[in-house]
Amino acid sequence: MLKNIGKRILFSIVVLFALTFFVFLLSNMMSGNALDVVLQGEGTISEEAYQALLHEMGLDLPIPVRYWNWLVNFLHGDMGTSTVNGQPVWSILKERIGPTLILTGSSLLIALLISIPLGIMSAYKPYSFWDNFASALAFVGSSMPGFMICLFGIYIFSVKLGWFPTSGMYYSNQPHTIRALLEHLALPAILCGLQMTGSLIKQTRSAVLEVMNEDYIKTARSKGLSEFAVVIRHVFRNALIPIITTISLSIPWLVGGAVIVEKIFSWPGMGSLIISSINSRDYNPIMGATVIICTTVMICNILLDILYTIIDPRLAKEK
Amino acid sequence: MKKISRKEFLRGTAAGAVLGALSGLSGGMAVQAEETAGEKSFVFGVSSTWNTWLSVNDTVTQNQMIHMMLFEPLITYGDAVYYRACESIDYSEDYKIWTMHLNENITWSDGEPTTADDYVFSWNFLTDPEFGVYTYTYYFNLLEGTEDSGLRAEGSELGVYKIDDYTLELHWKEATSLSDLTTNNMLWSVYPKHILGDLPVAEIMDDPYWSAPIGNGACVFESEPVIGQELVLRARDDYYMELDFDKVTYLVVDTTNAANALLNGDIDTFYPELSTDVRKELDGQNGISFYLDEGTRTIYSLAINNERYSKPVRQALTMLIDKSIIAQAAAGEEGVPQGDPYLIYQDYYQEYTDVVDVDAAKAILDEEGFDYSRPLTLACGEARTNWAMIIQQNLAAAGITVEITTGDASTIFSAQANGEVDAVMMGNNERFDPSSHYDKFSPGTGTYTHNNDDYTIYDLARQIAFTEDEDEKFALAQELQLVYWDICPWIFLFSIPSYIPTTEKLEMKGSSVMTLPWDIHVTA
Repeated sequence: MLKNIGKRILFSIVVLFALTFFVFLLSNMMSGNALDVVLQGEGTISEEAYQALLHEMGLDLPIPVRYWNWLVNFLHGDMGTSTVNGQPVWSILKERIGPTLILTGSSLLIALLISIPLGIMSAYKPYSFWDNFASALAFVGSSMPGFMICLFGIYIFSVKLGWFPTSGMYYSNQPHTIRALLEHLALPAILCGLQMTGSLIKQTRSAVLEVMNEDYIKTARSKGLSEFAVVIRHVFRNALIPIITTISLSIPWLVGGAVIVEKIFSWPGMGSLIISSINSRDYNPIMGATVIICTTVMICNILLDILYTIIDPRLAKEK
Repeated sequence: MKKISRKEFLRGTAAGAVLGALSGLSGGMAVQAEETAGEKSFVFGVSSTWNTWLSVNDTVTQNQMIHMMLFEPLITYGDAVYYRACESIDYSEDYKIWTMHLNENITWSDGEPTTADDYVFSWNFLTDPEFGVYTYTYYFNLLEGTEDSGLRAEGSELGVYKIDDYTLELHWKEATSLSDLTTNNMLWSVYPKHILGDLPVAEIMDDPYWSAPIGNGACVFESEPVIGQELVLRARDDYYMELDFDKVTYLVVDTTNAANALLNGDIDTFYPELSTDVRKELDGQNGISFYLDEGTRTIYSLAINNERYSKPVRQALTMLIDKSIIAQAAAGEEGVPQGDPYLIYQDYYQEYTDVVDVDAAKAILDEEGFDYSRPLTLACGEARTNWAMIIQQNLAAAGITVEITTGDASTIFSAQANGEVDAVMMGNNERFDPSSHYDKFSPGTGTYTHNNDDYTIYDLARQIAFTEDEDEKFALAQELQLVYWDICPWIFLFSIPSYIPTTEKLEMKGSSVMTLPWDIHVTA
């Protein structure tokens, strides 16, 4: 198993560098650059001045040379600075990752707390009220665009009912308390979680239905175990692997941020950073965020592989 | 009595718990910003975060607004020129040397006076190639001793000199008027020499000063700013002008959520402008009103490639476009067709008549040998697609095919600079001074816009800038307006007024735009 993990790590490193090059290439192939964003049609500088400024910013170099420069700096622990504000990229990312993990982690938790019980109930009692409710919720979560859910939610729960603030992480001009954070977190986390419930409910239902028809479940019942024990100890545990796989697909989102939710709620996380960096052609934060997301995904995938073998030891033996 | 089943009991308990939790949380919502009794404070919503304290790198108006609260501008432009940190300017005969007399009442918030030394120090390090942090130094490229990029030329002295503590002498490369510095960030790019002056240039940005800089403006930081969230500024008691507020909080609010934030009372005003539809929806609700800013209007135009489309062709295209329809689509009765970048409020403004004449336009195009087989590519932002489609229909009447492409600003302007699109729909906030736009239309500076090679606008605008006689200025301004109608460096489309949303907390006066400290009036 250790040998396999070692191979996975090596392969992941190669993939990481390939991805960074790919993202760098794509970013730099976008029309325009940071200087274009600043000037934006003002037309107040000459072509000579424009070229001189491009040279100052290093943007007149060929893309492979710029990537190489970035890579060398990165391997020396320097992610560069933002063209927009001159701040080191690492310090920008450090400020942003916390709020993102708070938001997306809470959203995922809410989604799990809703989806898993509902998915189990839906599979356990098909065509019942719970099944219909779960289907409706899955439909709404999957089909409504994120920005619509957010804006409707704000209008109803903030403006009309006055239950939640409209945006931000804390109250303006007040101490940053846990309570203030929770009050600001509630609405975006719930709305974001709602969007995730669709796929999770369906996956849970499908996995549970499949397991419930297995012979060992009938055996468990005939042994006299309570329904609760059958469902939790036997059904749910065996249905867990596909559910975990579905959750693992959310890892890039967990770290990369829920872009639309962060933007609408002015939540200062990674998602809004990536969007603003793309809009302002600020390549260094884009690359920094890419590295963070890719590295996290790779570590989590490796950890998940280990987790699978714990949940189902047969997988370790097969490997 | 009906027995309640275990399931029903559990369902009811769960529902009650959820509702109880929500209402428990919401109970806290009622208490938001607790203010000190009698304190005049308000919350300013902005759509994008401040991201630098280097004024010269301000790339968005929101940043400029905040910087001008912290750092006193030398002069500001509104419906007229206002002298602030600079009290007066004496000009040499050729306008290449300015003697600037500084306001002796301006002090840094630590009590030290702002003197000529601070300007000489600041502008020198900002233009120093050794500075180490990239800055948009092209703002300085009008000064002697700089290259086109604005960086100090090797072996040269920057053209800013201290004559005495409160007198600066500026040496320009060529004749320079106040119009040349409209929204030039160097006007508020001043830093305290007594704090940063002993540091090597390359280490200036490493100083802890930058976490919450000391400025010489109307406000100081109440607490350390949090990028992307909020920034609280307090009005200085020792500021040289009387201010009508005590505290302002800048809060980042997405434009899509601005209406909700205003309705909910989370913010008292917002920048940038809200769309006409949103404004009409919000006006009057929850004490929200919209104040007309008569100092500016937003003028929408097509910045069209002058190399590819000659003057007669541009005139013909202008005759094909029904600007009244587009203006109405954009802003109803408040939209006004424009043939130039002038404000309709100004005395010298001559009313523009929008004439659509397809036959006359076609005759001109045929005479010019216009290539009808080549589509005209028009780029615009997503929100302006409807207007672009009206233009597409108008030009189709003469047999011209228009291809519309949308994208973000950087993509669009880059595409135009590369010649990939022929015209870009732009919106610009225009101001009072007829000589203040010439830089957009001058030959040699059309990197993004037009590639105009006609010096007529440039020469006339420069003449206006350096004319002191008001009657002569008036006549020249009217002449320039006619030149715009003739040359059409851009195809000007229409203008709409600027409105500022406010709650009952704010009182709007005159040409108040809420962006400068002396324009802010918070009701008691």
